[in-house]
Amino acid sequence: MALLVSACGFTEPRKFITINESCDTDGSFLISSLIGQRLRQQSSAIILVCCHQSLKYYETCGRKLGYNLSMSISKKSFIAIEPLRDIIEATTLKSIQSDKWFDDVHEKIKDFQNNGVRHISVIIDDVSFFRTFGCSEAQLIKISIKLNDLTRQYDGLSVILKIGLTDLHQHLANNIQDLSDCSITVERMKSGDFWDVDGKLIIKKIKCDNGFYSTESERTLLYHIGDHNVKLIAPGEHGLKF
Amino acid sequence: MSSFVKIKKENNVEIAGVKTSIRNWQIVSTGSESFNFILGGGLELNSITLIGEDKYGKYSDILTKLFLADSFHHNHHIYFASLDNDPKKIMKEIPMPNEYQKDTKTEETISNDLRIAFRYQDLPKIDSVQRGSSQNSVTYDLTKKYEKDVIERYEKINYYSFNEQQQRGENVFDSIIRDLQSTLAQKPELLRVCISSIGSPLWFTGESFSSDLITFLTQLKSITRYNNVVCYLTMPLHLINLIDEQLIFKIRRLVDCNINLESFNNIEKQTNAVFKQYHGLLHIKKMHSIAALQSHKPEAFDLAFKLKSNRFLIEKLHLPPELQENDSSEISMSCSSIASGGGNKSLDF
Repeated sequence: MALLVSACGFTEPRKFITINESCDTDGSFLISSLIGQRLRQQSSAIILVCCHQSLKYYETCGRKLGYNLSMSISKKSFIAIEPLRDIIEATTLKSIQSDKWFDDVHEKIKDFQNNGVRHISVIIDDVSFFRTFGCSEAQLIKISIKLNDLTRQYDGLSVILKIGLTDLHQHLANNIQDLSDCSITVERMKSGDFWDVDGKLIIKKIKCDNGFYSTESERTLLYHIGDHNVKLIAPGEHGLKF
Repeated sequence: MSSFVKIKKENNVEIAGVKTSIRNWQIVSTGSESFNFILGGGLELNSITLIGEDKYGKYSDILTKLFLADSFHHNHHIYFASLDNDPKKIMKEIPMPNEYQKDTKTEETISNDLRIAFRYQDLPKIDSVQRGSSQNSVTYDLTKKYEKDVIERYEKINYYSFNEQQQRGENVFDSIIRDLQSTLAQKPELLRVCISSIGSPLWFTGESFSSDLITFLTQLKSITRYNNVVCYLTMPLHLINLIDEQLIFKIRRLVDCNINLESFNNIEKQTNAVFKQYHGLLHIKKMHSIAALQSHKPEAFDLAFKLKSNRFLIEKLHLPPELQENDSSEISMSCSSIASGGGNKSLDF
Protein backbone atom coordinates (compact mmCIF):
# COMPACT_ATOMS: atom_id res chain seq x y z
CA MET A 1 0.00 0.00 0.00
CA ALA A 2 2.93 2.31 0.75
CA LEU A 3 4.05 1.93 -2.85
CA LEU A 4 0.67 3.02 -4.16
CA VAL A 5 0.52 6.00 -1.83
CA SER A 6 3.96 7.25 -2.82
CA ALA A 7 3.45 6.53 -6.55
CA CYS A 8 0.26 8.58 -6.56
CA GLY A 9 1.98 11.53 -4.89
CA PHE A 10 -0.13 11.38 -1.71
CA THR A 11 3.01 11.65 0.45
CA GLU A 12 4.19 14.79 -1.35
CA PRO A 13 2.95 18.24 -0.31
CA ARG A 14 0.42 18.48 -3.13
CA LYS A 15 -2.49 20.81 -2.61
CA PHE A 16 -5.06 19.82 -5.20
CA ILE A 17 -5.33 16.24 -6.42
CA THR A 18 -7.93 14.96 -8.88
CA ILE A 19 -8.90 11.34 -9.36
CA ASN A 20 -10.54 10.74 -12.72
CA GLU A 21 -12.53 7.56 -13.17
CA SER A 22 -13.36 6.49 -16.66
CA CYS A 23 -16.43 4.36 -17.43
CA ASP A 24 -16.73 1.00 -15.62
CA THR A 25 -13.91 1.73 -13.17
CA ASP A 26 -13.90 2.47 -9.46
CA GLY A 27 -11.16 4.50 -7.83
CA SER A 28 -12.48 4.06 -4.28
CA PHE A 29 -9.38 2.01 -3.40
CA LEU A 30 -7.30 5.18 -3.94
CA ILE A 31 -9.42 7.11 -1.46
CA SER A 32 -9.25 4.27 1.08
CA SER A 33 -5.46 4.16 0.88
CA LEU A 34 -5.24 7.95 0.99
CA ILE A 35 -7.37 8.06 4.16
CA GLY A 36 -5.04 5.51 5.75
CA GLN A 37 -1.97 7.55 4.87
CA ARG A 38 -3.46 10.85 6.11
CA LEU A 39 -4.69 9.36 9.40
CA ARG A 40 -1.16 8.20 10.18
CA GLN A 41 0.14 11.78 9.94
CA GLN A 42 0.46 13.65 13.20
CA SER A 43 -2.03 16.46 13.84
CA SER A 44 -4.18 15.61 10.85
CA ALA A 45 -7.88 15.77 10.11
CA ILE A 46 -10.06 14.59 7.25
CA ILE A 47 -13.38 15.83 5.90
CA LEU A 48 -14.94 13.24 3.62
CA VAL A 49 -17.94 14.01 1.42
CA CYS A 50 -19.47 10.61 0.62
CA CYS A 51 -21.49 10.67 -2.56
CA HIS A 52 -20.52 7.45 -4.28
CA GLN A 53 -19.66 5.03 -1.49
CA SER A 54 -21.06 5.10 2.02
CA LEU A 55 -19.06 5.77 5.15
CA LYS A 56 -19.60 2.13 6.15
CA TYR A 57 -17.70 1.06 3.04
CA TYR A 58 -14.66 3.12 4.01
CA GLU A 59 -14.85 1.81 7.57
CA THR A 60 -14.88 -1.80 6.33
CA CYS A 61 -12.08 -1.22 3.82
CA GLY A 62 -10.10 0.64 6.49
CA ARG A 63 -10.16 -2.40 8.75
CA LYS A 64 -8.73 -4.50 5.95
CA LEU A 65 -6.03 -1.95 5.22
CA GLY A 66 -5.06 -1.71 8.87
CA TYR A 67 -6.63 1.47 10.21
CA ASN A 68 -9.69 2.09 12.33
CA LEU A 69 -11.94 4.84 11.07
CA SER A 70 -14.45 4.63 13.92
CA MET A 71 -11.66 5.51 16.34
CA SER A 72 -10.81 8.61 14.31
CA ILE A 73 -14.48 9.57 14.20
CA SER A 74 -14.73 9.34 17.99
CA LYS A 75 -11.54 11.42 18.29
CA LYS A 76 -13.18 13.96 15.98
CA SER A 77 -10.28 13.94 13.58
CA PHE A 78 -12.51 12.52 10.87
CA ILE A 79 -15.77 14.08 9.74
CA ALA A 80 -18.04 12.57 7.12
CA ILE A 81 -20.70 14.46 5.23
CA GLU A 82 -23.07 12.02 3.56
CA PRO A 83 -25.29 13.60 0.90
CA LEU A 84 -26.05 10.09 -0.39
CA ARG A 85 -27.76 9.17 2.87
CA ASP A 86 -30.15 12.12 3.00
CA ILE A 87 -30.76 12.53 -0.69
CA ILE A 88 -34.46 11.67 -0.47
CA GLU A 89 -35.22 14.55 1.84
CA ALA A 90 -36.20 17.70 -0.01
CA THR A 91 -34.01 19.91 2.18
CA THR A 92 -30.90 17.95 1.22
CA LEU A 93 -31.78 18.24 -2.45
CA LYS A 94 -32.04 22.00 -2.10
CA SER A 95 -28.75 22.19 -0.22
CA ILE A 96 -27.02 20.25 -3.01
CA GLN A 97 -28.45 22.51 -5.65
CA SER A 98 -27.52 25.67 -3.80
CA ASP A 99 -23.92 24.66 -2.91
CA LYS A 100 -24.74 24.68 0.80
CA TRP A 101 -22.59 21.61 1.26
CA PHE A 102 -19.58 23.70 0.24
CA ASP A 103 -20.30 26.16 3.06
CA ASP A 104 -20.50 23.22 5.50
CA VAL A 105 -17.09 22.01 4.36
CA HIS A 106 -15.64 25.52 4.71
CA GLU A 107 -16.96 25.87 8.25
CA LYS A 108 -15.44 22.55 9.24
CA ILE A 109 -12.07 23.59 7.80
CA LYS A 110 -12.24 26.76 9.90
CA ASP A 111 -13.03 24.71 13.04
CA PHE A 112 -10.05 22.41 12.47
CA GLN A 113 -7.81 25.41 11.79
CA ASN A 114 -8.93 27.07 15.02
CA ASN A 115 -8.20 23.85 16.93
CA GLY A 116 -4.61 23.93 15.70
CA VAL A 117 -4.79 21.00 13.27
CA ARG A 118 -1.82 21.23 10.91
CA HIS A 119 -2.82 18.92 8.07
CA ILE A 120 -6.42 19.06 6.83
CA SER A 121 -7.59 16.93 3.90
CA VAL A 122 -10.89 17.49 2.16
CA ILE A 123 -11.93 14.46 0.09
CA ILE A 124 -14.91 14.71 -2.21
CA ASP A 125 -15.93 11.26 -3.39
CA ASP A 126 -17.43 11.90 -6.77
CA VAL A 127 -18.26 15.39 -7.95
CA SER A 128 -20.32 14.02 -10.84
CA PHE A 129 -22.94 12.93 -8.28
CA PHE A 130 -24.08 16.55 -8.03
CA ARG A 131 -24.82 16.59 -11.76
CA THR A 132 -27.65 14.10 -11.13
CA PHE A 133 -29.42 16.56 -8.89
CA GLY A 134 -29.47 19.60 -11.11
CA CYS A 135 -26.01 21.13 -10.58
CA SER A 136 -24.58 22.42 -13.85
CA GLU A 137 -21.01 21.75 -14.94
CA ALA A 138 -20.27 25.49 -14.68
CA GLN A 139 -21.51 25.47 -11.08
CA LEU A 140 -19.24 22.53 -10.22
CA ILE A 141 -16.23 24.15 -11.88
CA LYS A 142 -16.89 27.30 -9.81
CA ILE A 143 -16.95 25.23 -6.61
CA SER A 144 -13.68 23.58 -7.62
CA ILE A 145 -12.13 27.01 -8.13
CA LYS A 146 -13.38 28.03 -4.68
CA LEU A 147 -11.84 24.89 -3.17
CA ASN A 148 -8.59 25.63 -4.97
CA ASP A 149 -8.65 29.15 -3.51
CA LEU A 150 -9.09 27.67 -0.04
CA THR A 151 -5.89 25.62 -0.46
CA ARG A 152 -4.03 28.91 -0.95
CA GLN A 153 -5.82 30.53 1.96
CA TYR A 154 -5.02 27.74 4.47
CA ASP A 155 -1.47 26.41 4.63
CA GLY A 156 -2.06 22.83 5.73
CA LEU A 157 -5.10 22.22 3.54
CA SER A 158 -5.20 19.79 0.63
CA VAL A 159 -8.20 18.93 -1.53
CA ILE A 160 -8.79 15.61 -3.27
CA LEU A 161 -11.57 15.55 -5.84
CA LYS A 162 -12.85 12.39 -7.45
CA ILE A 163 -14.70 12.73 -10.74
CA GLY A 164 -16.69 9.76 -11.99
CA LEU A 165 -17.42 8.89 -15.61
CA THR A 166 -14.88 11.32 -16.99
CA ASP A 167 -15.50 9.91 -20.47
CA LEU A 168 -18.98 11.40 -20.28
CA HIS A 169 -18.08 14.58 -18.36
CA GLN A 170 -14.94 15.55 -20.26
CA HIS A 171 -15.56 19.29 -20.10
CA LEU A 172 -15.92 19.15 -16.33
CA ALA A 173 -12.96 16.80 -15.88
CA ASN A 174 -10.61 18.87 -18.06
CA ASN A 175 -11.47 22.12 -16.28
CA ILE A 176 -10.95 20.65 -12.82
CA GLN A 177 -7.77 18.90 -13.93
CA ASP A 178 -6.36 22.29 -14.98
CA LEU A 179 -6.52 23.37 -11.33
CA SER A 180 -4.73 20.32 -9.98
CA ASP A 181 -1.07 19.73 -9.26
CA CYS A 182 -1.51 15.97 -9.50
CA SER A 183 -4.08 14.07 -11.50
CA ILE A 184 -4.66 10.33 -11.39
CA THR A 185 -6.71 8.66 -14.09
CA VAL A 186 -8.15 5.21 -13.46
CA GLU A 187 -8.80 3.29 -16.66
CA ARG A 188 -9.92 -0.19 -17.64
CA MET A 189 -7.76 -2.49 -19.69
CA LYS A 190 -8.98 -2.16 -23.23
CA SER A 191 -8.21 -5.79 -23.98
CA GLY A 192 -10.66 -7.18 -21.40
CA ASP A 193 -10.79 -8.60 -17.87
CA PHE A 194 -7.83 -10.39 -16.34
CA TRP A 195 -6.99 -12.25 -13.18
CA ASP A 196 -3.68 -10.46 -12.55
CA VAL A 197 -4.52 -6.90 -13.58
CA ASP A 198 -7.64 -4.88 -12.78
CA GLY A 199 -6.83 -1.71 -14.68
CA LYS A 200 -4.30 1.02 -15.15
CA LEU A 201 -3.42 4.26 -13.41
CA ILE A 202 -2.06 7.26 -15.28
CA ILE A 203 -0.37 9.54 -12.77
CA LYS A 204 0.41 13.01 -13.99
CA LYS A 205 2.27 15.40 -11.71
CA ILE A 206 2.25 19.10 -12.56
CA LYS A 207 4.56 21.79 -11.24
CA CYS A 208 4.06 25.53 -11.18
CA ASP A 209 7.01 27.91 -11.58
CA ASN A 210 6.11 31.58 -11.32
CA GLY A 211 2.63 30.99 -12.68
CA PHE A 212 3.77 28.71 -15.52
CA TYR A 213 2.43 25.18 -15.39
CA SER A 214 4.40 22.28 -16.81
CA THR A 215 4.23 18.50 -16.56
CA GLU A 216 6.71 17.27 -13.96
CA SER A 217 6.24 13.58 -14.66
CA GLU A 218 3.75 11.20 -16.21
CA ARG A 219 3.67 7.50 -15.38
CA THR A 220 1.41 4.65 -16.33
CA LEU A 221 1.11 1.78 -13.89
CA LEU A 222 -1.07 -1.31 -13.83
CA TYR A 223 -2.84 -2.24 -10.62
CA HIS A 224 -4.29 -5.33 -9.06
CA ILE A 225 -6.61 -5.03 -6.08
CA GLY A 226 -6.10 -7.70 -3.47
CA ASP A 227 -8.10 -8.33 -0.33
CA HIS A 228 -5.76 -6.37 1.93
CA ASN A 229 -3.55 -4.44 -0.46
CA VAL A 230 -3.20 -2.99 -3.93
CA LYS A 231 -0.36 -4.29 -6.03
CA LEU A 232 1.29 -2.06 -8.64
CA ILE A 233 2.83 -3.52 -11.74
CA ALA A 234 4.88 -1.74 -14.39
CA PRO A 235 3.54 -2.24 -17.91
CA GLY A 236 5.38 -5.10 -19.57
CA GLU A 237 6.30 -6.72 -16.27
CA HIS A 238 3.82 -9.51 -16.88
CA GLY A 239 4.84 -11.70 -19.77
CA LEU A 240 3.81 -14.91 -21.34
CA LYS A 241 5.33 -17.86 -19.55
CA PHE A 242 5.73 -21.19 -21.29
CA MET B 1 -1.66 0.24 20.86
CA SER B 2 -2.81 -1.32 17.62
CA SER B 3 -5.91 0.11 16.05
CA PHE B 4 -6.92 -3.29 14.75
CA VAL B 5 -10.42 -4.29 15.75
CA LYS B 6 -11.60 -7.83 15.23
CA ILE B 7 -14.84 -8.01 13.29
CA LYS B 8 -17.42 -9.54 15.56
CA LYS B 9 -20.45 -11.51 14.47
CA GLU B 10 -22.54 -9.26 16.70
CA ASN B 11 -22.18 -6.47 14.14
CA ASN B 12 -24.27 -8.49 11.72
CA VAL B 13 -28.01 -8.79 11.93
CA GLU B 14 -29.28 -12.35 12.23
CA ILE B 15 -32.09 -12.89 9.76
CA ALA B 16 -33.40 -16.18 8.41
CA GLY B 17 -32.06 -16.83 4.94
CA VAL B 18 -29.18 -14.37 5.35
CA LYS B 19 -25.68 -15.85 5.47
CA THR B 20 -22.26 -14.37 6.04
CA SER B 21 -20.05 -14.58 2.98
CA ILE B 22 -16.32 -15.25 2.85
CA ARG B 23 -15.86 -11.49 2.42
CA ASN B 24 -17.47 -11.03 5.84
CA TRP B 25 -20.60 -9.41 4.47
CA GLN B 26 -24.16 -10.63 4.69
CA ILE B 27 -25.66 -12.23 1.62
CA VAL B 28 -29.00 -13.58 0.50
CA SER B 29 -29.61 -16.29 -2.05
CA THR B 30 -30.78 -15.56 -5.58
CA GLY B 31 -32.68 -18.84 -5.64
CA SER B 32 -30.33 -20.35 -8.20
CA GLU B 33 -27.37 -22.38 -6.97
CA SER B 34 -25.28 -21.63 -10.08
CA PHE B 35 -26.03 -17.93 -9.97
CA ASN B 36 -25.12 -17.78 -6.28
CA PHE B 37 -21.80 -19.45 -7.00
CA ILE B 38 -20.90 -16.92 -9.68
CA LEU B 39 -21.77 -14.02 -7.39
CA GLY B 40 -19.57 -15.39 -4.62
CA GLY B 41 -22.40 -16.74 -2.47
CA GLY B 42 -25.37 -14.57 -3.35
CA LEU B 43 -26.62 -11.00 -3.42
CA GLU B 44 -24.97 -8.75 -0.86
CA LEU B 45 -27.16 -6.99 1.65
CA ASN B 46 -27.49 -3.23 0.90
CA SER B 47 -26.72 -3.79 -2.76
CA ILE B 48 -28.48 -3.28 -6.09
CA THR B 49 -28.16 -6.01 -8.69
CA LEU B 50 -29.06 -5.32 -12.28
CA ILE B 51 -29.85 -8.09 -14.73
CA GLY B 52 -29.71 -7.10 -18.37
CA GLU B 53 -32.69 -8.91 -19.87
CA ASP B 54 -32.41 -11.22 -22.84
CA LYS B 55 -34.26 -10.07 -25.94
CA TYR B 56 -37.67 -11.57 -25.08
CA GLY B 57 -37.16 -11.60 -21.32
CA LYS B 58 -37.72 -15.36 -21.07
CA TYR B 59 -34.69 -16.27 -18.98
CA SER B 60 -34.57 -13.09 -16.90
CA ASP B 61 -38.18 -13.84 -15.89
CA ILE B 62 -37.04 -17.23 -14.62
CA LEU B 63 -34.30 -15.61 -12.53
CA THR B 64 -36.87 -13.12 -11.18
CA LYS B 65 -39.19 -15.96 -10.17
CA LEU B 66 -36.32 -17.76 -8.44
CA PHE B 67 -35.44 -14.60 -6.51
CA LEU B 68 -39.08 -14.16 -5.47
CA ALA B 69 -39.34 -17.85 -4.56
CA ASP B 70 -36.35 -17.57 -2.23
CA SER B 71 -37.81 -14.42 -0.62
CA PHE B 72 -41.11 -16.21 -0.11
CA HIS B 73 -39.46 -19.35 1.23
CA HIS B 74 -37.52 -17.38 3.87
CA ASN B 75 -40.53 -15.29 4.81
CA HIS B 76 -38.89 -12.00 3.85
CA HIS B 77 -40.81 -8.83 3.12
CA ILE B 78 -41.16 -8.33 -0.66
CA TYR B 79 -41.78 -5.24 -2.76
CA PHE B 80 -42.50 -6.28 -6.33
CA ALA B 81 -43.03 -3.75 -9.11
CA SER B 82 -43.76 -4.62 -12.71
CA LEU B 83 -45.59 -2.56 -15.32
CA ASP B 84 -45.25 -4.97 -18.23
CA ASN B 85 -46.84 -7.97 -16.54
CA ASP B 86 -49.21 -8.38 -13.64
CA PRO B 87 -46.94 -8.84 -10.59
CA LYS B 88 -49.60 -10.86 -8.75
CA LYS B 89 -49.76 -13.30 -11.66
CA ILE B 90 -45.97 -13.68 -11.75
CA MET B 91 -45.91 -14.24 -8.00
CA LYS B 92 -48.38 -17.13 -8.39
CA GLU B 93 -45.92 -18.84 -10.75
CA ILE B 94 -42.93 -18.95 -8.41
CA PRO B 95 -41.30 -22.38 -8.06
CA MET B 96 -41.30 -24.52 -4.94
CA PRO B 97 -38.17 -25.67 -3.10
CA ASN B 98 -36.63 -28.92 -4.28
CA GLU B 99 -36.54 -31.55 -1.55
CA TYR B 100 -34.96 -34.42 -3.45
CA GLN B 101 -31.69 -32.83 -4.51
CA LYS B 102 -29.35 -35.06 -2.48
CA ASP B 103 -30.98 -38.29 -3.66
CA THR B 104 -30.52 -37.50 -7.36
CA LYS B 105 -26.82 -36.79 -6.80
CA THR B 106 -26.19 -40.22 -5.26
CA GLU B 107 -28.04 -41.91 -8.11
CA GLU B 108 -25.75 -40.25 -10.62
CA THR B 109 -22.61 -41.57 -8.91
CA ILE B 110 -23.90 -45.13 -8.73
CA SER B 111 -24.74 -45.30 -12.43
CA ASN B 112 -21.16 -44.23 -13.37
CA ASP B 113 -19.83 -47.78 -13.75
CA LEU B 114 -17.29 -48.16 -16.58
CA ARG B 115 -16.43 -51.68 -17.82
CA ILE B 116 -14.07 -51.13 -20.78
CA ALA B 117 -12.36 -47.85 -19.83
CA PHE B 118 -12.19 -48.93 -16.19
CA ARG B 119 -8.94 -46.94 -15.64
CA TYR B 120 -10.89 -43.73 -15.83
CA GLN B 121 -13.52 -44.87 -13.37
CA ASP B 122 -11.87 -43.31 -10.35
CA LEU B 123 -11.14 -40.01 -12.03
CA PRO B 124 -13.39 -37.18 -10.90
CA LYS B 125 -16.16 -36.42 -13.33
CA ILE B 126 -15.67 -33.10 -15.11
CA ASP B 127 -18.58 -30.92 -14.19
CA SER B 128 -18.62 -27.50 -15.82
CA VAL B 129 -21.79 -26.47 -14.00
CA GLN B 130 -21.04 -23.55 -11.70
CA ARG B 131 -22.10 -24.56 -8.22
CA GLY B 132 -20.65 -24.56 -4.75
CA SER B 133 -19.94 -27.45 -2.44
CA SER B 134 -22.46 -26.30 0.14
CA GLN B 135 -25.40 -28.68 0.58
CA ASN B 136 -27.33 -26.29 2.78
CA SER B 137 -28.58 -23.90 0.12
CA VAL B 138 -32.16 -24.28 -0.97
CA THR B 139 -32.73 -25.09 -4.63
CA TYR B 140 -36.00 -24.64 -6.47
CA ASP B 141 -37.79 -26.92 -8.90
CA LEU B 142 -39.14 -24.91 -11.82
CA THR B 143 -41.77 -27.53 -12.59
CA LYS B 144 -43.43 -27.33 -9.18
CA LYS B 145 -45.59 -24.39 -8.20
CA TYR B 146 -47.31 -23.29 -5.01
CA GLU B 147 -51.04 -23.42 -4.67
CA LYS B 148 -52.68 -20.06 -5.40
CA ASP B 149 -54.13 -19.70 -1.92
CA VAL B 150 -50.72 -19.99 -0.30
CA ILE B 151 -49.42 -17.02 -2.26
CA GLU B 152 -52.60 -14.99 -1.85
CA ARG B 153 -52.48 -15.45 1.91
CA TYR B 154 -48.91 -14.14 2.14
CA GLU B 155 -49.11 -10.76 3.82
CA LYS B 156 -45.53 -9.55 3.64
CA ILE B 157 -45.74 -8.40 0.05
CA ASN B 158 -46.47 -5.11 -1.70
CA TYR B 159 -47.20 -4.90 -5.40
CA TYR B 160 -46.91 -2.07 -7.86
CA SER B 161 -48.55 -2.71 -11.22
CA PHE B 162 -49.57 -0.82 -14.34
CA ASN B 163 -53.17 -0.47 -13.09
CA GLU B 164 -51.98 1.09 -9.87
CA GLN B 165 -49.84 3.56 -11.81
CA GLN B 166 -52.88 4.54 -13.90
CA GLN B 167 -54.97 5.02 -10.77
CA ARG B 168 -52.40 7.18 -9.03
CA GLY B 169 -51.59 9.16 -12.15
CA GLU B 170 -48.20 10.32 -10.91
CA ASN B 171 -44.60 9.75 -11.87
CA VAL B 172 -43.84 6.03 -11.57
CA PHE B 173 -40.38 6.58 -10.10
CA ASP B 174 -41.65 8.93 -7.38
CA SER B 175 -44.44 6.49 -6.49
CA ILE B 176 -42.02 3.61 -6.03
CA ILE B 177 -39.67 5.65 -3.83
CA ARG B 178 -42.63 6.76 -1.69
CA ASP B 179 -43.89 3.18 -1.45
CA LEU B 180 -40.47 1.94 -0.36
CA GLN B 181 -40.24 4.64 2.30
CA SER B 182 -43.64 3.73 3.69
CA THR B 183 -42.76 0.01 3.64
CA LEU B 184 -39.52 0.69 5.49
CA ALA B 185 -41.43 2.75 8.05
CA GLN B 186 -43.01 -0.55 9.16
CA LYS B 187 -39.45 -1.68 10.01
CA PRO B 188 -39.29 -5.04 8.24
CA GLU B 189 -36.42 -7.32 9.18
CA LEU B 190 -35.29 -7.47 5.57
CA LEU B 191 -36.89 -5.96 2.50
CA ARG B 192 -36.34 -7.59 -0.86
CA VAL B 193 -37.11 -5.19 -3.70
CA CYS B 194 -37.75 -6.68 -7.11
CA ILE B 195 -38.40 -4.36 -10.04
CA SER B 196 -39.03 -6.10 -13.32
CA SER B 197 -38.34 -4.63 -16.79
CA ILE B 198 -37.49 -1.19 -15.49
CA GLY B 199 -36.97 1.16 -18.42
CA SER B 200 -39.33 -0.66 -20.80
CA PRO B 201 -41.65 1.55 -22.95
CA LEU B 202 -44.31 1.57 -20.20
CA TRP B 203 -41.86 3.29 -17.87
CA PHE B 204 -41.15 6.08 -20.32
CA THR B 205 -41.79 9.47 -18.71
CA GLY B 206 -41.07 11.71 -21.67
CA GLU B 207 -37.99 13.67 -22.62
CA SER B 208 -36.68 13.67 -19.06
CA PHE B 209 -36.70 9.86 -18.91
CA SER B 210 -32.89 9.48 -18.76
CA SER B 211 -32.47 11.96 -15.92
CA ASP B 212 -35.57 10.60 -14.13
CA LEU B 213 -34.15 7.08 -14.27
CA ILE B 214 -30.74 8.18 -12.98
CA THR B 215 -32.30 10.19 -10.15
CA PHE B 216 -34.49 7.21 -9.24
CA LEU B 217 -31.53 4.83 -9.16
CA THR B 218 -29.54 7.27 -6.98
CA GLN B 219 -32.46 7.48 -4.54
CA LEU B 220 -32.84 3.71 -4.61
CA LYS B 221 -29.13 3.37 -3.87
CA SER B 222 -29.53 5.71 -0.91
CA ILE B 223 -32.44 3.66 0.46
CA THR B 224 -30.62 0.38 -0.12
CA ARG B 225 -27.32 1.42 1.45
CA TYR B 226 -28.74 2.66 4.73
CA ASN B 227 -31.47 0.06 5.36
CA ASN B 228 -31.72 -3.73 5.38
CA VAL B 229 -32.65 -3.89 1.72
CA VAL B 230 -31.61 -6.02 -1.23
CA CYS B 231 -32.57 -4.78 -4.67
CA TYR B 232 -32.98 -6.91 -7.75
CA LEU B 233 -33.69 -5.10 -11.02
CA THR B 234 -34.14 -6.38 -14.53
CA MET B 235 -33.79 -4.01 -17.45
CA PRO B 236 -34.18 -4.39 -21.23
CA LEU B 237 -30.77 -2.95 -22.05
CA HIS B 238 -31.21 -3.33 -25.81
CA LEU B 239 -34.07 -0.80 -25.54
CA ILE B 240 -32.17 1.50 -23.17
CA ASN B 241 -29.32 1.71 -25.68
CA LEU B 242 -31.77 3.00 -28.28
CA ILE B 243 -32.68 5.96 -26.08
CA ASP B 244 -29.18 6.95 -25.05
CA GLU B 245 -25.97 5.00 -25.62
CA GLN B 246 -24.23 6.63 -22.65
CA LEU B 247 -27.07 5.89 -20.25
CA ILE B 248 -25.94 2.34 -19.56
CA PHE B 249 -22.58 3.58 -18.19
CA LYS B 250 -24.38 5.94 -15.79
CA ILE B 251 -26.73 3.14 -14.72
CA ARG B 252 -23.88 0.69 -14.21
CA ARG B 253 -22.09 3.17 -11.99
CA LEU B 254 -25.10 3.37 -9.68
CA VAL B 255 -25.71 -0.35 -9.35
CA ASP B 256 -23.40 -2.72 -7.48
CA CYS B 257 -23.62 -5.70 -9.75
CA ASN B 258 -24.52 -5.99 -13.42
CA ILE B 259 -24.94 -9.25 -15.30
CA ASN B 260 -26.37 -9.37 -18.80
CA LEU B 261 -28.16 -12.29 -20.40
CA GLU B 262 -27.93 -12.96 -24.10
CA SER B 263 -30.23 -15.65 -25.40
CA PHE B 264 -29.72 -17.39 -28.72
CA ASN B 265 -32.64 -16.05 -30.63
CA ASN B 266 -30.82 -15.45 -33.85
CA ILE B 267 -30.34 -18.30 -36.28
CA GLU B 268 -26.57 -17.82 -36.54
CA LYS B 269 -25.90 -18.62 -32.90
CA GLN B 270 -28.63 -21.23 -32.63
CA THR B 271 -27.05 -23.32 -35.38
CA ASN B 272 -23.45 -22.81 -34.24
CA ALA B 273 -22.06 -26.07 -32.90
CA VAL B 274 -20.25 -24.27 -30.06
CA PHE B 275 -23.50 -23.05 -28.57
CA LYS B 276 -25.56 -26.13 -29.38
CA GLN B 277 -25.96 -27.30 -25.80
CA TYR B 278 -26.70 -23.86 -24.31
CA HIS B 279 -29.62 -21.46 -24.34
CA GLY B 280 -27.61 -18.29 -24.00
CA LEU B 281 -24.54 -16.48 -22.76
CA LEU B 282 -24.00 -14.70 -19.49
CA HIS B 283 -21.89 -11.53 -19.54
CA ILE B 284 -20.44 -10.29 -16.25
CA LYS B 285 -20.07 -6.51 -16.36
CA LYS B 286 -19.74 -5.57 -12.70
CA MET B 287 -19.50 -7.48 -9.43
CA HIS B 288 -20.37 -6.57 -5.84
CA SER B 289 -17.69 -4.79 -3.81
CA ILE B 290 -19.66 -3.27 -0.96
CA ALA B 291 -17.58 -4.62 1.86
CA ALA B 292 -14.19 -4.95 0.26
CA LEU B 293 -11.76 -3.22 -2.04
CA GLN B 294 -11.67 -6.25 -4.26
CA SER B 295 -14.80 -7.59 -5.91
CA HIS B 296 -15.42 -11.30 -6.25
CA LYS B 297 -13.96 -12.86 -9.37
CA PRO B 298 -15.73 -15.94 -10.72
CA GLU B 299 -13.79 -19.01 -11.83
CA ALA B 300 -14.40 -18.18 -15.47
CA PHE B 301 -15.58 -15.12 -17.33
CA ASP B 302 -16.88 -17.06 -20.34
CA LEU B 303 -20.17 -18.40 -19.09
CA ALA B 304 -23.25 -19.85 -20.70
CA PHE B 305 -26.62 -20.83 -19.30
CA LYS B 306 -29.11 -23.52 -20.08
CA LEU B 307 -32.57 -24.21 -18.89
CA LYS B 308 -33.27 -27.75 -17.91
CA SER B 309 -36.78 -28.92 -17.19
CA ASN B 310 -36.56 -28.09 -13.53
CA ARG B 311 -33.35 -26.06 -13.08
CA PHE B 312 -31.53 -23.01 -14.38
CA LEU B 313 -27.86 -23.92 -14.83
CA ILE B 314 -24.82 -21.78 -15.57
CA GLU B 315 -21.78 -23.47 -17.02
CA LYS B 316 -18.29 -22.59 -18.14
CA LEU B 317 -18.40 -22.11 -21.87
CA HIS B 318 -16.23 -24.70 -23.55
CA LEU B 319 -15.83 -26.10 -27.02
CA PRO B 320 -17.46 -29.48 -27.56
CA PRO B 321 -15.05 -32.35 -28.26
CA GLU B 322 -14.66 -33.27 -31.90
CA LEU B 323 -15.04 -37.02 -31.70
CA GLN B 324 -15.04 -37.82 -35.39
CA GLU B 325 -14.24 -36.05 -38.63
CA ASN B 326 -17.28 -35.34 -40.63
CA ASP B 327 -16.75 -33.75 -44.04
CA SER B 328 -20.42 -33.16 -44.57
CA SER B 329 -20.78 -30.96 -41.46
CA GLU B 330 -21.22 -27.28 -42.30
CA ILE B 331 -19.31 -25.90 -39.33
CA SER B 332 -15.80 -27.12 -38.73
CA MET B 333 -14.21 -26.65 -35.32
CA SER B 334 -10.66 -27.46 -36.42
CA CYS B 335 -8.11 -24.93 -37.66
CA SER B 336 -8.10 -26.17 -41.22
CA SER B 337 -8.92 -25.18 -44.78
CA ILE B 338 -7.77 -21.55 -45.16
CA ALA B 339 -4.10 -22.11 -44.44
CA SER B 340 -3.98 -25.25 -46.54
CA GLY B 341 -4.81 -23.39 -49.70
CA GLY B 342 -8.55 -23.77 -49.58
CA GLY B 343 -8.51 -27.57 -49.49
CA ASN B 344 -10.70 -29.63 -47.21
CA LYS B 345 -7.82 -31.45 -45.49
CA SER B 346 -7.03 -30.51 -41.89
CA LEU B 347 -3.56 -29.40 -40.93
CA ASP B 348 -1.34 -31.97 -39.27
CA PHE B 349 0.74 -30.65 -36.42
